[in-house]
Amino acid sequence: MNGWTAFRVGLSRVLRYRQVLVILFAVNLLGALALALLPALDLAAGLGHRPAIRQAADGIDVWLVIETLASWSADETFRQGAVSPGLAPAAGVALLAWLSGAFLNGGVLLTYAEDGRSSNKAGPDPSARISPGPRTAPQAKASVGAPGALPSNGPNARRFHWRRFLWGCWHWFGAFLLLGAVQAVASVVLFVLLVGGAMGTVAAAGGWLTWVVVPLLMLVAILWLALTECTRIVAVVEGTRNVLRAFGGAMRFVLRHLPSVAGLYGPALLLLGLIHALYRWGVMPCLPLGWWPLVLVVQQATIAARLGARLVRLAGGVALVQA
Amino acid sequence: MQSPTHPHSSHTHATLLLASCFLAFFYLLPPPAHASLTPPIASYTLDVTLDVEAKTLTGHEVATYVNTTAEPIPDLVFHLYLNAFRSADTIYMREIGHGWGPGRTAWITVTDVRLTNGTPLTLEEVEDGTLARAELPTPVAPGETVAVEMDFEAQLPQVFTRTGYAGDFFMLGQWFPKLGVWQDGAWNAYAFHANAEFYADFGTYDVTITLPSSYVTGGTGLPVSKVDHGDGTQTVHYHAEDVIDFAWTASPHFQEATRQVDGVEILYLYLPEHAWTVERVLDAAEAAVDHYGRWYGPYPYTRLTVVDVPNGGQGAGGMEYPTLVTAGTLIGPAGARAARLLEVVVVHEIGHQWWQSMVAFNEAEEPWLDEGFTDYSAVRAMAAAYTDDASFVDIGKVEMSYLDMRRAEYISNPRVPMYGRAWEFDGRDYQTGAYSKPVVALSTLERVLGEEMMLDVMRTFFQRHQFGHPTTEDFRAVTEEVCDQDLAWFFDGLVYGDGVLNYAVTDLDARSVTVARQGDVIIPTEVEITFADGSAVVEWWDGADAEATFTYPNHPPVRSADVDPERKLMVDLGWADNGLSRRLEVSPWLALVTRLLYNLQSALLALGGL
Repeated sequence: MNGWTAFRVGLSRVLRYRQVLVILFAVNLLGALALALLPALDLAAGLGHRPAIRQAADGIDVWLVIETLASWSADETFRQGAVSPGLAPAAGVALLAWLSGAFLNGGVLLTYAEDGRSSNKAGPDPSARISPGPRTAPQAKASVGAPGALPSNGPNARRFHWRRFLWGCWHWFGAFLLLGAVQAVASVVLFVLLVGGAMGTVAAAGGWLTWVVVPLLMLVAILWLALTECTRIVAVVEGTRNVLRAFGGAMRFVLRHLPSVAGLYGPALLLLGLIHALYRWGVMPCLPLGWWPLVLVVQQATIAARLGARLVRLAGGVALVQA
Repeated sequence: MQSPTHPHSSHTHATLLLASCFLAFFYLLPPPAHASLTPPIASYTLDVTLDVEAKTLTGHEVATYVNTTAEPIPDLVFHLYLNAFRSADTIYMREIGHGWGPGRTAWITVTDVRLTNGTPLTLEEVEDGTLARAELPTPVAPGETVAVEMDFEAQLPQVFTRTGYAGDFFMLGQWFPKLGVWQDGAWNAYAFHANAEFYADFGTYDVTITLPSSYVTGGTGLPVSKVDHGDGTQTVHYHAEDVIDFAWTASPHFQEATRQVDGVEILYLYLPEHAWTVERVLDAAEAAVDHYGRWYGPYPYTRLTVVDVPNGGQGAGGMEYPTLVTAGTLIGPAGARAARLLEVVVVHEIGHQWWQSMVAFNEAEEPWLDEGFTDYSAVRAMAAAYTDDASFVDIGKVEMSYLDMRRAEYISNPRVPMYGRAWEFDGRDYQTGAYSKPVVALSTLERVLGEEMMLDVMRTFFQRHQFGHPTTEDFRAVTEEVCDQDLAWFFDGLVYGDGVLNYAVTDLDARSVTVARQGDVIIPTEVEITFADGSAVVEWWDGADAEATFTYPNHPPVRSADVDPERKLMVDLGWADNGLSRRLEVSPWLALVTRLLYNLQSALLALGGL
């Protein structure tokens, strides 16, 4: 299966299992709401009766930057009433992202994997028509009931099954928690090394090197993203909770099918870029920030679209691995 | 003067003879004629040769000092600034804490010191060798003149702070033995400190520089002549009157761009790789000369030279000398489009032509005066030339004025007095005390007094003390005289004090408003109270008490209150708490919460794939 086909398959699976998108969106929204609650109340108490809040609501500008700086640097007695950005939820964000991501990824990937498997059996799935492909040995092994294998869900696989989804969430929760922690640390180390090295190289060799280094860095970042996502995909498709084995499988897969992976991640990331660009430069500049209900709708639609773009990438990845 | 010696052909001899005739002819020419603006006190004739390979100077100096004081002066004290770089143990290098190394070693040695009548003198090093003292055989009586001549040799540093070389670029500041200022019965001359700049009397400078013919030079004053010796060297002769220093620069790569502004020639010496800066630098220089001239008094010299520095010689950039300033391209053209650093440096340094080169403050003892006045002037000039809101940063919707930049800097470190000797501040406090706080404080004074009155204050001060050495107390006297009011809040509170101020409306109900002053600076201000029917009253609050309550039993219910409603007090550490309303501001609150929510959702998505 080539990358573009995988992208199309991913898109069709995301549209078919809209429940997955709704679940992820709901968790994202409710999680953010929970995290926003205390800072929002603090904001109301500190600035709710201050006319200055109108300037703060106008968007990030010099006034806001200076007033925020004042709230950080002025003496303790001066801090009351000053603008303070909601930094409190920052730690909560990382924790919630880690836990919920580790929990939901198993169910999401299982849903898409079982769609592929049932499609291969029944044949009506467009992906099967495009590239039926042989099932891999581990898949065959998993489907016959090896330890950690996927229980078969029979001919109803093309419907969304809550129990299967939750089973997938729970089954891989521990493994994905560990994987998430390790990959977070590795990502930070990789980021520091790459960016530090790049800055040193550019500083030593001259500004022109930026045009070489930045695209290279982006390529490395995309490769790392593909590797981390494929690790989870391989784990689910192969029915394993051994993260080392899954990582090894993902490495082999990505390196052996680099053109297909590039063919999937290219359009998927382009789609994500387009969503960002449309939001940042197309829609938001036309919206007065004071029209908060409309801003809220646009922002939530953007979040849903970004989630959808990511799911297309995951579903396409599942299709690629299964092929 | 030492001339290079080479075997010459007969042709070369003829050329040399011709050149010598020209040289003699030009030397006989009188300096450019114009009436002296101030009687010279410390004047110099300098004859120097630059060895561009060894990075050394060999020179002969005649220093002429006129005792304009009422006291006999028993000795002479010279600054030997280059000795600040001769070891890591000098006061300068200890204070700077880094930067010294073998490539940056520099020194100056003086030999054969004598009166011009031949009487030998002994020059003794003082402190760390950046000062030297020569006892005179007889004191210089009031009204008398003493002339001393000496030879000197100097090794230049690889430039990292103002002076030295970077490849074949040379910036020569603080390069010759220079007299201190006799004041209050003693020489006012300090060892060279890291934060301290300079202090000197006005005088006439006659300077001849010999260097390779391929070099283009720029210097204080005007070039009088240039003679090519035909042996690969040239001698350039500069003359400057009514100035406190002489600086010069040389590079074989300099190109020249000029512009005339109100009878002043602005000469920009730029390097080919920085050709993109030409129009921008000249525009900024024109705006500066034009605005400062109109605000304070005209630039009285005929030329102003702006010097570009190479990428490896940024340490020479952003410095002021009489009629010559150095600029600098800290960022490339793309960055320079977004942030007007290039223009800010030019406008600031040119401001020093008024607030240092003409009103010659003691930069060592009161650095806030020259840096503060200059930067306050630069804030105004940048706003006039590049709009109020985007005078510093202008990237689409992201705008920042130079004043805002300085206010942000001040707010981050406000408990610093402006007044103090340069070495009494550490690096960060010096930045606040000499630059950002004076800008914010003088801008506050301007808003309180009104723009016209503030201009009147500055103009009066400039004109009264041009070619003098005024102090903070002189500025206080002029300000209080022009405004006819006591400005203790400014001078005692902000200049001499390290106090801070935050005004806030702390409470209000239907019938009363409570305002509070946090901090120890007291500035009278206004409080605007708006009532439910839309009517408003403005109360005058002297700020003397830490808290004040205004009551309105016979008015409609109070709706909101605002202390310092026009935001005149730039020194206020936070404006967010200046206003208070009885009504909850629901819509902006929800707008902020909406944005907070989106940012949290984005973070969750980015970090956890959700």
